[in-house]
Amino acid sequence: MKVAVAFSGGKDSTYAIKLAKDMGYDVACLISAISKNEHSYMFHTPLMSLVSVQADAMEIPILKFATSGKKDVELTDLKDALKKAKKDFEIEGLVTGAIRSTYQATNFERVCDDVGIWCFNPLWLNESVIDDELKKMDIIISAVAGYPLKEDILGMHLNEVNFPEGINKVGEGGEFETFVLDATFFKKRIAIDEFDKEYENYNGRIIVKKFRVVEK
Amino acid sequence: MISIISTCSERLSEKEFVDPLVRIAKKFGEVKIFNYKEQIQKADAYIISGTALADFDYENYMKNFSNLKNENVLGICAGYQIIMSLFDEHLSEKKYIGVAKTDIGKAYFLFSKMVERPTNFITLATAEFPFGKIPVYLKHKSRNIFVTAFHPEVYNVELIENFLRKYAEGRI
Repeated sequence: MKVAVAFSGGKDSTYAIKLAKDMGYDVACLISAISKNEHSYMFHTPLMSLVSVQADAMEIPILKFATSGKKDVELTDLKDALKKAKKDFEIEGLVTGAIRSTYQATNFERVCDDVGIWCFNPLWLNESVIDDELKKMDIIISAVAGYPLKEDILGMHLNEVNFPEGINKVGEGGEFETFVLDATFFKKRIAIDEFDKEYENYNGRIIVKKFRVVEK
Repeated sequence: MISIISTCSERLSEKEFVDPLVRIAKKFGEVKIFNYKEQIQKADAYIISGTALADFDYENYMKNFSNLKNENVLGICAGYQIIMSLFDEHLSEKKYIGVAKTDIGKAYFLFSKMVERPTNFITLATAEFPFGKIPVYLKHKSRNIFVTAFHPEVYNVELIENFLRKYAEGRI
């Protein structure tokens, strides 16, 4: 079956791509929302400017769509993007990285149902499995959102972070966001040479200034 | 032994609908997983999984479920539809995707067919939907057969645990 993957650049959607490929699905394209709303419950926003670089490193086509990120409008925009993917890439299903958020899962399910394609959430309730897989990827912290995460973890590699009690590496509580530099199925890896940080009141993100795409 | 019966025709769906059930069931005993296309072996208790909203291939293999009518069974979503069909209940086309409040707390729904007026089952919980109040958790009148129109592995894990504690725990 040809599928698209809802791709945010982070660890969960990257792992969803790996799962789909390992199971023999044809990942025909990635679909990424470029949202103007930093507080969207539906879409991840840090470092979305680099999702095309990741897609090139994976050698998978990407279909990006802009959205205001307003509730409901972002779902209509997602629906339009899926219709385009269905037409241009002949996808029959969408794979997502939803793990625990019924808000995300419900909306992905509804939009796929409206478009007439399958919806797959292979990470759903599978936090314990994801933890092991994260060790096999090169992942950095791209954003933090809320107490008690401090500025120093921004840009750190996920496997090197000692999280405070109550926060785990899966981060499904939304305490932090990630960006994947490399995974086993990437054809090339990404190296970040220089970045700035924006941080205030336990909320922050990195802004990448220089990066390279490196042969593996 | 506990038998988890997958109603999924796609492997990606099994990650979503079967794996979480297996993890819960393993706390109560040995677990074997069967696909709806296979002959199902005898077990102390059976859980029939849900599947993707677009997936109805299991409807072509209803004969594989006919031996479960006298067993200890929990049917979830697609499993609910299978059990209801086995007992000739009338399924009508009703779709709901998302969280809804039920008599036993909030629950996550993903269904496209519902029994509005069951004849062989007693209602244990109902939920209010835009199309009316409908039974969503039921038990057969005289057999140890339970069904949920929702996915208890999301918000109602204790419902699955109570079923397994009663019908599977401690049995070999």
